[in-house]
Parts: sequence; structure tokens; C-alpha cells
Amino acid sequence: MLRYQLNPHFLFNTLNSISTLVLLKQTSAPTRCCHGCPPSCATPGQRADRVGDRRAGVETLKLYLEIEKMRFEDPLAAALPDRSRRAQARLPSLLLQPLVENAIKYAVTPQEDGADIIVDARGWATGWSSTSSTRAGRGQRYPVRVEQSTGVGLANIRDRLAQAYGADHRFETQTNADGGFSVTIEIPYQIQSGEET
Amino acid sequence: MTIRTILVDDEPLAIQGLQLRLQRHEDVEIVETCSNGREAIRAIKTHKPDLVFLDIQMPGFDGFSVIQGLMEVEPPLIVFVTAYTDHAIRAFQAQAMDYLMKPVEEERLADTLDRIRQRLARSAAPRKRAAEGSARRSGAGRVDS
Repeated sequence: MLRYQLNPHFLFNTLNSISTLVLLKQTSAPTRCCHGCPPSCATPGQRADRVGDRRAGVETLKLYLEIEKMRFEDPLAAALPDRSRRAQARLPSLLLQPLVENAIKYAVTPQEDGADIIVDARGWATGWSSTSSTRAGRGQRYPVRVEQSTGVGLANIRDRLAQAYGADHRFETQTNADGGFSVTIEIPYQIQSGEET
Repeated sequence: MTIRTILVDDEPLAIQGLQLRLQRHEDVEIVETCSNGREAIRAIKTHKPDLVFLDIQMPGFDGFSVIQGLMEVEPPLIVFVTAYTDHAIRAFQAQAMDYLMKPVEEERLADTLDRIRQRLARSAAPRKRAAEGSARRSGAGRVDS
């Protein structure tokens, strides 16, 4: 099973950026970028349905965003939560990254002014939910071009949630009133064994 | 002959990479760099360059939209520079001179520039005969043909 559906456009553009940094003899950014690679591409043998803690998921996201920041230099506005208890909640690995990648592909990249990405996590008595959404940048409205979507990313996430939790989850997508797009995932609250609740 | 060139890419490092790799080609003069298609159309109409290195995927107007936006002017030679493998046929349909894959290889870039020089020399020759004396810029004389 593919650990991750690798986006060739992302890969080759990133390699191109790294090659420029090497020409410039700037080694810190490409090194950071290479450290960003292992979670997404250097460990293809790892199982995709493995459930890791959300902290690791958020770390992977941060590394991915680091690469995108290196490519575009502009500050990429991404709000990520990191509250200690919720950071221990377990989450299927690489669940959030394809969502953020989609947000960059369909919302941030087509806009000359960019857009904001917000990832939020909340704990409930029955479980916890994670919402990733995009918001139109600089107060402007823009249509989310859903018709361009191949549906592969979202379908993969649906499948993986069904495998991991059966019917015990919720997965919803919606177009926001401000023109952005939200994905809400609710799954049972589980923490790493041996840790306090 | 100087090759007046515009670079278009939404990634600053991609622009910088091309600038660095073009440095050793002394006849290439970069007159402007653009980070999106809209800027590119404006810059090409303003500068009337000989050559444009054009990224395909960009916010707003993409590379193909840039070509469409140049219908009413004499188009420069276009070299697409892209990470997409599946746009090659469309690129040549758009009369692209060449199609470079990222990361850009220096030898491949040198081949592209050789073809550009040949093409420009061919198209410059009749123009030169027609308008003798207007070739003020080529002070060093004919470098290659």
C-alpha cells in the first residue's frame, strides 16, 4: 500500500529550489528541507494505516509547510494548534497533510494574494475533532474550484478513516460562507498507552 | 547579438536558479523577472524581449494564458520551464521553442540557448538587410551564426 500519494509537481519544484540553494551554497534551508522528507517520502515501507500521535502529525505538517515556505519565501499563514494534552491524541499518520496540501493546491496557489490555512483540533467528551479550513486571503472572496478536484485525496482519507474506526467517525466537507473550504473530521479520543489522560 | 530575456516563475528560487545558470551565457541579458502571468504579459508587451522562460503553473494566469494574452503582439521565443511532464504536447502546440524540465540541467539549458541563437540569427538576417544600420546594439559584431 502506498504510504503517501506523492505529488510529482511538488517533488520536482522542490528539487529545483534545492538545486538553486546548492548553487548559492546556502546549505541550511536544503538541509532543513531534507529533514522534512523522511515522514513523507523516505520511509515508503511504513504502513499507511498506522496510528501515530497527533503531535507527530503536526510535526510532519510543519516540515511540509517549511518546504512550501522555502519555495515561495512569502510567509505562508498556517495556524496550527499545539496544546499539550490534545497533542497526545492519536491520529492516523499523514491524515492532515493531504488536506493541507489540497488547500495549498486549490486555494493558496491559484490566488495571486495567497490564502490562509487553519488547522484546529478540539476535544469533546465523546471524542475529538480536527478541522482544516482555508480562508480567503486579504479579505477577498474567491470560489473554491472543487470541479478541478480529482477526488483522490478526500476519497483516500475517507477509506482510511473507515478502516481505522469503522462507522465511529465523521468526515464532512463544506464550502464556507466567506468562500473558503472546510474539512471536519471527528474520531474517538485515544491517547498513547501508558500516558495519563 | 544580445538575447533580451524575461524570466517568469512564481517561485523566487526558480527565478534565481535560472539567473545563476544563465550567468555564464554572456549574450543573455535578463531585462525583467515576473512572478505571475499578469506581470509577464505586461512586461513582454513593454520590453518586447527576444526570449521568455515561462513557468506553466502559476497563480492567476498560467503559462498558457500568457501565450494567449500575447495574440496581438509579435510573440517572443518561448521556452517553458516546468515540473509537469504531461504538458509537453500542449507546449509545442503553443509554438514553444523548447520545454525544460525542473530541476533545470545546465547542459540542457546550453543546448536550448544554442537553438535560440540559431533561430534568432536566421530571423535577424532578412530584417538586417531590410533595415541596414538599425543594428546598433550589436557593437561587438557578429559573434555567432
